[in-house]
Amino acid sequence: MTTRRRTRLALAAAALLLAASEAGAQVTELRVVRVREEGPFRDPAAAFWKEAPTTAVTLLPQAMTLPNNLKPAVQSLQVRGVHDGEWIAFLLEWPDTTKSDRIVVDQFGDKVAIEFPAEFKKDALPSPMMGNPGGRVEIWQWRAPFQQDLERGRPQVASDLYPNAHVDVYPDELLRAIDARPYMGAVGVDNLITRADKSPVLEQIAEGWGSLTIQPDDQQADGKGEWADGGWRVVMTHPLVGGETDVRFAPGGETAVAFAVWDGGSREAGPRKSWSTWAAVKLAE
Amino acid sequence: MTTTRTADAGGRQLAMVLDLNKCLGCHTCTIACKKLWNRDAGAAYAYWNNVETQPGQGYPRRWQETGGRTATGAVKRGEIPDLDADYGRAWTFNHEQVRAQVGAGAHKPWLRPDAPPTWGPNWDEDHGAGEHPGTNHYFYLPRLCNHCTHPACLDACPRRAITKRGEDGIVLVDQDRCHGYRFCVEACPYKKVFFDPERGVANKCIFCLPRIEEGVAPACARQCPGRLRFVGYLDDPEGPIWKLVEKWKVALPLHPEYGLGPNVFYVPPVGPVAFDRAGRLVDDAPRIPGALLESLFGSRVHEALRIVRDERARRRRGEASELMDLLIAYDWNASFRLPAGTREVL
Repeated sequence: MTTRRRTRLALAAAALLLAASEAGAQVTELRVVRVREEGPFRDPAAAFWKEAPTTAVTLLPQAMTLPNNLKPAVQSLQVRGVHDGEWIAFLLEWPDTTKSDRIVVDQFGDKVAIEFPAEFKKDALPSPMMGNPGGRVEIWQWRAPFQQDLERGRPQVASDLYPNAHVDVYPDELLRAIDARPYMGAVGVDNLITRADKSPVLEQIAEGWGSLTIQPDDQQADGKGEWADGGWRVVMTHPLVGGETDVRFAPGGETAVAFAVWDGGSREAGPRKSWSTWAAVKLAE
Repeated sequence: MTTTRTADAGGRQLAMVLDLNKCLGCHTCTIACKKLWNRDAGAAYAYWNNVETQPGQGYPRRWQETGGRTATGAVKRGEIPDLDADYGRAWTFNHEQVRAQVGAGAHKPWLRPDAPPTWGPNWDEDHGAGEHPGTNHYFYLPRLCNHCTHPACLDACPRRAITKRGEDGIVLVDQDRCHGYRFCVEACPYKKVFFDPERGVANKCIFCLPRIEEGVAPACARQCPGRLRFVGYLDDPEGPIWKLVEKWKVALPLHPEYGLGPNVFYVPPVGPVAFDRAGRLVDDAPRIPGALLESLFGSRVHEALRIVRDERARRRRGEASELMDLLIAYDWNASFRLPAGTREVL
């Protein structure tokens, strides 16, 4: 990135944040209620969600960095939060007329993400746009294709496209794992994007654009999404106190939260998304 | 995310030269590449190396119409090729029906695709253009990642998953960082980055990196029966690349106007000359139009063709020609000049 462009973007970001804080008279507040049921909470249709107040979160076009998305498909989210003293969970709802849970060559999947400052300091929040150097954020991202994989098994995308394709032998069937790695691409280097083993939610950390990294050894977030009546209802849940690098929640405590949504049907991915600025989160005792 | 990171690479550049006068369109390069690197099911449609016919739409279809950079150097938002219209799905055939009909009466159905095919790799192979006899023409254009000096794919990746190696300029997609956003597929104007839907990540030609590190030329080059590929460092005056690109100036990049600084170079095809109405060869009437070659290789193509023609004539007269000796590739070992292997074997 050129210095001039970096400066321009930084100024634009500052102006936007200033505008957000001036409008800050109405900083969105999300109240996380305590429920009697025990976590982890994976059911988007559970009755206890009715106990939690719904907060509407406005989503903005991602216009700060390239590639941008000036006309995002999703403009707002309905959010609820619950905890049981051990687990916290958020229910996210948004309209989406096209359920996109399969990734093909030219098709993308629906996704939603929740972002928290890794360390909550009320007067020194990281940038809501993926954090900043020194201002780390933690991101839980639910992926519709991951959930589809978990529920129905890996799609045989390629064999659908090439039904008569024949693979005589894969290198890892003949070679030691270490020798086969060069031929196995992302699978050989254990890129978690290549599969969803246990959860449709990926725990990631970032300190600014381009730094988003999957937490290699600490994946405790779980969740589930249901698509019905032209919309998604997605739950993401995590222990209040997880791994060493995880954001820590406490009953009665507070932190900040931001959101992002990708509509696969509109080919949204990466920075081509809609996002929110920070909202306040308050956990009931 | 501009060319800064690209320029930072700074070191040497590996390059390849392909003499299009010698390509016979046998696809051995493609098979060599695919058998070595692309047997994964999700890469079935992906050709890190392919051979297409020019003039033609190429593979993926219309690749020349999208991507690249704007006049100000910004990455142009290209397009992801359409699975059906541009890459093309594999065809399925009525094998069952044909088998069931064997010996059952006079009517035996032809083996045919289940649905009328509309596109696929090599769809327009050997079509070419012009009028037969006289001006009909085509030539083969083998294509691979150009390992550009200013790669659009690298600049387009918001995850910084694409790097250009300082020591040899090879452009790589980090298989650990890639999240499958496909901005690189959009941005590459040569459409040489492919998305693997099974693995959920993008991949592309790695210039046979593990072979290079052992001092061995890439598989596409070593396996070429036509001996039309040359491999080495761009700045090595003893090597074939420097001689063809810098000294003789007969090897040109594909679509230099895209502004990416491709490091795969082509000796343009001289092609046959036209017939006149009486069936006589017309010496000064090349069948492959100069405008077509200029659209692919830029305005320097005419001078490159002149040099190749002049050196051919010199050779015909029995005179010595370093250029012809090099292009003929008497000793194919001379086509590749790579340092001996330095890779630490695991």
